[in-house]
Amino acid sequence: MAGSVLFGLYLSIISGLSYGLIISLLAGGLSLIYGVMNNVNTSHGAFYMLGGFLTFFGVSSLHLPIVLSIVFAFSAAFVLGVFFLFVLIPKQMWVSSNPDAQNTVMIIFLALAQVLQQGTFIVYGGGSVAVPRISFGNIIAPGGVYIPYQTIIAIAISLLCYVGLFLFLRDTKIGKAIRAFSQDRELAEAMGVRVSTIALMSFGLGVSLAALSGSLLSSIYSITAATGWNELVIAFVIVTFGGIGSISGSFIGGIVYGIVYAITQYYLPAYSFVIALVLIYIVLVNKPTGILGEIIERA
Amino acid sequence: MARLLKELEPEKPQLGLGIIKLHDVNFVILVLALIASIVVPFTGLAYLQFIMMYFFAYAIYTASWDLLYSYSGQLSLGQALPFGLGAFFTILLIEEFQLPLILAAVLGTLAAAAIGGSVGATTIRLRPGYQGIAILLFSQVLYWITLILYGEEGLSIFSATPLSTTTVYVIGIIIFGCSMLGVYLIQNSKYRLKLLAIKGDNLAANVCGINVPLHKAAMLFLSSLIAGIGGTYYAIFTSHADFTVFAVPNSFLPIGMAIVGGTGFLGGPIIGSVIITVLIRILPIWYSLAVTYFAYGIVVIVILKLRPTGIIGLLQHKKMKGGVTIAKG
Repeated sequence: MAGSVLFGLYLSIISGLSYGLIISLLAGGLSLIYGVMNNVNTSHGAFYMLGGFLTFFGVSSLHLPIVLSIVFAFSAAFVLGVFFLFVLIPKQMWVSSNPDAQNTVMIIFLALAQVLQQGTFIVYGGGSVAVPRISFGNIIAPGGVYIPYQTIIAIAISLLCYVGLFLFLRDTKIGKAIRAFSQDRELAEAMGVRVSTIALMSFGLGVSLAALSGSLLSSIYSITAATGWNELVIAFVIVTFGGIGSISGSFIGGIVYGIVYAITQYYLPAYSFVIALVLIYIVLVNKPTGILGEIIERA
Repeated sequence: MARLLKELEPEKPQLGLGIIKLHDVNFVILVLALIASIVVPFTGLAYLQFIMMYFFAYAIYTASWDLLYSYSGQLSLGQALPFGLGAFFTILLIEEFQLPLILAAVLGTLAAAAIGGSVGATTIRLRPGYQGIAILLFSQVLYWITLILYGEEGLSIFSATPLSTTTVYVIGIIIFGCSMLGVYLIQNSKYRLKLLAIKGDNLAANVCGINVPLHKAAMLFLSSLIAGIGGTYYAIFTSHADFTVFAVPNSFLPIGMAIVGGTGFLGGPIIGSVIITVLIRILPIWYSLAVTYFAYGIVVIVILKLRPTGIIGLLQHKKMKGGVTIAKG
């Protein structure tokens, strides 16, 4: 009995690690957008869903190999994100600390999410799409646990993405500008950083991370047009847990969420989502300072 | 703040009964809506009567969201939580506990207010955006719990004798009239000034001696109560509640309606609910529900971009010089 419980825990940690790592990309995108623009992207979940469907579109309609389809989904989400921000949101609201403007942006993004979701529904219907795997087969980890190659490849892509993001933010000119801007807006502007470029870049990058996450998970889990709202909530929970505006916080928060989710899924499958959310929510409410200090009203 | 000080100046005597101003465009819209709802059954158009019942529920629902948003600056992205709870509890009490309809409705509404308010009260220290998503989180939790417990078919009233359409319609008019008048009275009372001060600046309001968390929590309970009334009525006339009442598109419904009609005044939710209810009940006759909600989303984006004050903003603009006070902080 004790052995099977421990085996369950071991299994859960492995699957939680992979799920958490991929879903942390989604949270990282949300965090990046908030850190720079001070706006919560309520359409983040819709871009996650779109990532899965764009990959499917790449494979089924453009007849691209699956790896290229993932790249296509990533780039298309970037272009779409930049386009929507440019067209829908008034420029003075791109970066704003005025609560009224922030609320307006959230409502526009929420409406956008609804439009994207229903639009996808009209085109593809309500069923889930089957995105092919990059590779088939399993490796057997110690203890007799089967891990699909797909999971390992998805983990590798996520880690690569983190390395890329890290290098981008550390070494490139725009990356440095983004970091400077999220640390001190006025000073960065005085040094010649253009607000609009930074906002467009970080929004595009943020939503394409969401799309990548959806794209990678679409071949492991199913994605339908109605997917996305749970993921928005999960991303929010991870971001709050790990600290807003911090990519490494999302990385850690994502893994913690993934493991908690996987453990509850092993022992109480029906309520796993509910329990994971409520557990983390209790942390959020009881420990509103410290890593969560940033999101609390300063009043 | 300057606007608040201006509001504190003694007002010129106006035609009205206490704080009800008879020439106020919002009051006129409320009276017109009531007259229209009384006239509709006599036209003999059964489908229109059915749409009106949706309108009653949605207008109350939208007013509850707008009260929270425009009068205490709290953006709820999960207003479906109290609405759905009201609907679910009412059906549950009638079906499982065999309570009479009136008692079930009252208890269901109170339960929705208690749970919705309590959940909301844990979020009042968060920034508006995060507060909205925190409430959304709970409505998603309930979405899953109700899906697991009651399945896709949800709960329906089978055992109790159904009320006649006329009775349900009359109940609707009464609930609609009372709730809207209640919201109108709150929006025109002196208490509004405290709320607007909180909305304008939490810190300044606190310094002025206003207990900010208390009033924010009070508004959450009040808004949940009103949304609960809407949800309860929705459950009574559809005799059904399932997990989709907690879905995000249902939370988005009052937000979009308030945006289209205009936020901050009672007339906004009424006009917005009329337009959107007709849109989402008439369009599916020719197109699918997805096309309807797609169009709805686009309408909200366009209105928010081109005319952020909504339709009531146009009507209000002409009346503004007449001394109508503005709710926007």
